Amino acid sequence: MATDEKKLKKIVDNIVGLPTLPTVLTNVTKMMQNPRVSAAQVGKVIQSDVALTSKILKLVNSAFYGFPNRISTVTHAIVILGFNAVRSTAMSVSVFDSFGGGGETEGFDRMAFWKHSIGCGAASRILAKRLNIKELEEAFIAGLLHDIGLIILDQFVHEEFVKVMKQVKEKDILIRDAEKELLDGVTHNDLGAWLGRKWNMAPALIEVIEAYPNPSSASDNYLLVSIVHAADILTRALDIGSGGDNRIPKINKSAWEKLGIDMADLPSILQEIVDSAKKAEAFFTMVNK
Amino acid sequence: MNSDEEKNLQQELDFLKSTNQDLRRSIDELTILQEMLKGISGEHTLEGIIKRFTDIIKKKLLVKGYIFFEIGESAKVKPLYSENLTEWDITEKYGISKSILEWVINEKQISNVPSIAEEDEGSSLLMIPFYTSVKNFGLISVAIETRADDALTVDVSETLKLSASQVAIALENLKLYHDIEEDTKNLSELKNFMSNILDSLVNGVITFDNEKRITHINRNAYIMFGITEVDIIGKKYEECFPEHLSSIIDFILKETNEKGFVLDYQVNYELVGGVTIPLGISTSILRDENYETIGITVVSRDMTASRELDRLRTLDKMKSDFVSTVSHELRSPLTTIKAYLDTLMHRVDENDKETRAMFLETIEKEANRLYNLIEDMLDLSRIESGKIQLELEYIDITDIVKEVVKLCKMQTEKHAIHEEMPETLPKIMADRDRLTQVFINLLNNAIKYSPQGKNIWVKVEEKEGSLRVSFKDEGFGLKEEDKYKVFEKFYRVDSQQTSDIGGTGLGLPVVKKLVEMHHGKIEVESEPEKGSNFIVILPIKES
Repeated sequence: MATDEKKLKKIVDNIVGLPTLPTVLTNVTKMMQNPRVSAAQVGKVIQSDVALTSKILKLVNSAFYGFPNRISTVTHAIVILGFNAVRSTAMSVSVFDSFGGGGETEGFDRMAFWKHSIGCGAASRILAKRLNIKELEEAFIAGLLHDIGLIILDQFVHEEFVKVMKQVKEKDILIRDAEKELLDGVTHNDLGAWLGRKWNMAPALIEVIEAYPNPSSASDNYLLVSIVHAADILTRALDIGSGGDNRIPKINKSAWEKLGIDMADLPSILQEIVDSAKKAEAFFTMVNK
Repeated sequence: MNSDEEKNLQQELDFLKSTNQDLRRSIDELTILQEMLKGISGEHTLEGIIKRFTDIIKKKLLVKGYIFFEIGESAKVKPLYSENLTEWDITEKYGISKSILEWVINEKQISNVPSIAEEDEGSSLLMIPFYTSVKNFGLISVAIETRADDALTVDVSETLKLSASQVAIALENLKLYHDIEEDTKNLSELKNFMSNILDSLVNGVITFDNEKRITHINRNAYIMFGITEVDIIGKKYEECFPEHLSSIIDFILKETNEKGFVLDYQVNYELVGGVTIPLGISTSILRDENYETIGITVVSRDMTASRELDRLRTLDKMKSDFVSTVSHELRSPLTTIKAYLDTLMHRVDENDKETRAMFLETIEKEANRLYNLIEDMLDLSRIESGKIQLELEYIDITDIVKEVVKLCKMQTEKHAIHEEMPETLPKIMADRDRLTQVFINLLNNAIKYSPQGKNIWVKVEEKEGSLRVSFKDEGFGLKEEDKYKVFEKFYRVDSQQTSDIGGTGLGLPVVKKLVEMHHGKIEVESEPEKGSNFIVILPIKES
């Protein structure tokens, strides 16, 4: 076991009572491995969870997806928006259910954090759409969960997190930098990735959570990591919610180039992000206050 | 293991087994799909591409019909063509509005909506957008005989995604292909247009590339240069032009390469059958957009017309010069005549015969001068406009000279005129009257411009293939600067000695012209106060 992993283990070993992924979501993910599974079959499984179903329907009918007609069943949602969109809304709902509430840590505004996360998800989806990537929903969920490690810290490693936030405020530095100093080199990215593995998230998602601050360290999913890297920075620049600190990290040049964004298009992209983040407000209502 | 655990394990194993079986089937189908996808990119028509695509769907689903919508102006969808499905169907049976179609395109989202019509309960409408990273092409709505929730399995939606992107690529290729085709068509139209313009020019135009190959030739160039070979484009000119044309082109291409252009290089070009046309050839260097030399343009024009025009212009100028000078020259004797007549009529006593006679004499003298002037002028103008034709015959020139001397001796007794000529001389072709006119003129001048009592020698000799007739006097002579000017129209030597001597200033110009018409020339030797010698030189053979 590498030193870093040892240090991480030291922290996570003390975590007690971590929520598990809802069985429904685990089952859906498993079902979708079978290419012959139909929308009706998946829909039936999701519909067994009434609370989840109503939240999913609320999301798929929101301005974020913007389908002109009303979608009345999960199955319809699947046939109209696709399997991935429905799974990603289910995943969002589960995350909000598990981690949405609580949080009174000084200097860390949970609501602002979720706003930033949802904004980053919307921004990632827009960048992915511009790049013509088929997995738009994966980009959305990756953006949404990129900083999920902060919630783990806040909720389960609270004492250290309070110190981290104190230092962030005093020195006006990035959370990451404070974490490295106070958590023995372990960051919320490491914790987020740890959660991802525990929850059986897709490998691409885990890589994004782990590598988005430094895309050069990504391997298989360089493009997706670059997208979230840029989306995080653009969302911070647009001041949508708060990532926990007040800084804008330095953009990675090769990641930015990989996205091939013409500087002349940037104003229209930023506007699109602002509009889309607004449309994604339905997600924000799912966060338990 | 308790019974619950055993049941769970059994379920897991069953799931694994069926998943594996389904995966294997999907792999088999994917192999077929791959082949079909290859077919899409091989299509060169929109119909073909859409047909291939629906064939793939038909492998997976029971297709009732479809409509292909393209994206028209201002991003609105419009149906392009369909099979067994109408716009009414998709609105009424599936509740699909234009805004849903546009949503599908904008969200790049494959969707499948169930039928809302009772009789079609088991069917649904698939909407599949076609797009690449640079362009949205449209979408296809496919009505299928399967319930929406059963139709769109993960497998089917992956297949649709895969084939839709293949269709988009094929559509993009098709568009590029059409663009190229369009460009080619425009280019060939432009080429035709330019070629028609070049053919309508009266000039001959030929272009050459750097390897001296002909890249273009217009119709008039063929005619002008008498080129008989066809299909000469792309050939080197040495291989297909007449030899004398090739040598002209050699020369002007060399000149062009050295100087950058040739302007109106004049050449008398001989066509088959001996016809010669005067050509003016000009060239310029052809360059591409980077200013690199890519060849030379040669433009030739038939100068026949412009030469005629030049001649007429010169004639016209001569005439107007002539009129302006002549009107002045005519006015002075007329003014004298009018003044004398006035005085005679109103001032001189009718009985004063002596004064009247003196006045009349002056009037007669001026009238004569006017008459001579007009005669000379008419002569000169006829000569200059080429209206005088010589009446040539073989004549013995000594006859004429003798005649002239005899005539002049009658006019003056105050000069001694000496003749000197060999007994026999070759006859020459000449106009008897015109030569007489020349000699009288010259002898008269010798008499006029010599003081009384002086000698005049008229000498005829044969020398160097010519006959030389000279009129030598001991008169006032000419200054060096006047020696040539005396042959100019209306030039009069300005000196005290000659101021009283009447003359038109046209005599010598007429003489010179007449001599030149005989292919001869006139020379003058002279020194002031010592006398002059005017020599007419006539070729023996040529006239």
